[in-house]
Amino acid sequence: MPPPFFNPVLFGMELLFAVIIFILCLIIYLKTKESYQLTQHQGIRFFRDAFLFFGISYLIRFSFMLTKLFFDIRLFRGELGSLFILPLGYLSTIAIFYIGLSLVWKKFNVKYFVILGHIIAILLSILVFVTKSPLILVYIQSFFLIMAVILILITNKKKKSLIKTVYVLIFIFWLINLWAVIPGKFLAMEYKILFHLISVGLFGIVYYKISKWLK
Amino acid sequence: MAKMNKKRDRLEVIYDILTIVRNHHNSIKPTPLLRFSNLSSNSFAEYFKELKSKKLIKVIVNNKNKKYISLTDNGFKYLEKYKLIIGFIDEFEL
Repeated sequence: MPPPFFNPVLFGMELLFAVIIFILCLIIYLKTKESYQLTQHQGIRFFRDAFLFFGISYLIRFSFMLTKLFFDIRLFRGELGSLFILPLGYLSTIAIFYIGLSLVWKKFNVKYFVILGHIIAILLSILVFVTKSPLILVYIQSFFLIMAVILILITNKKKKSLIKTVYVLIFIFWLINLWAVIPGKFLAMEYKILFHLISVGLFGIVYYKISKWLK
Repeated sequence: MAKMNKKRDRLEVIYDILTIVRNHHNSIKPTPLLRFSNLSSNSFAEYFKELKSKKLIKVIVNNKNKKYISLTDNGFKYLEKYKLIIGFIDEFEL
């Protein structure tokens, strides 16, 4: 007998969405491998790692959502959900952090900021794990988003930057997609499809831009 | 902004050194390479070490015990891909 919350259409859509995003991120990671190996360029390193972590985060988000689809909500809110929220919190925070670092790594002491980023990501994921509240992750990552936008506006007054806009949008839609899988939060199917399509489009833009340079 | 160009300059300097080696029939002694690269000896030593560690160049000692520098396959690949990599770095503001 299927579980009470199981919705085959939602399951299929979410599976397809997670797989497409993961494959796009994996291709981005693999396409930039040679450039990094040849140059050991720190910006390329942060960029490719960020997309790898984003891809894995979307897969974990899907697993996290599966628990919502297949299991009783009480169990989901308890141990099972916590199992996924720990790596989800860590990897997605690091992904966001690395995207930021890929843009500003020349201006700071990279080693110090990488360590700081990992400490923040670990503390954040532990906090979410202990409190069993994925909403905290959304709130804190939203705070990071606001900080990132302010930073971009300050450092980017004159020059229009398509790629920074794409990054901010990827970040915004990540937060919406994450929020949508939190127990008790509901997003209509039409909006889910729309947001998923936009997310795929954003990752597709990054993939397309990379393909232009790195065959 | 000056800082931002530093890494680009670094990639460019590597490109220039590798180009010099290639343009000398892929075999050049360290002293002329230093001269053609327009770097201080300290900078050159630093780049030389980096290029060897990244396996972009190799040092060949001939039977008269003279050292020659040659490009590795990775060195040739770097030259081939350089412009594309720079385009990618620019596009993504890395």
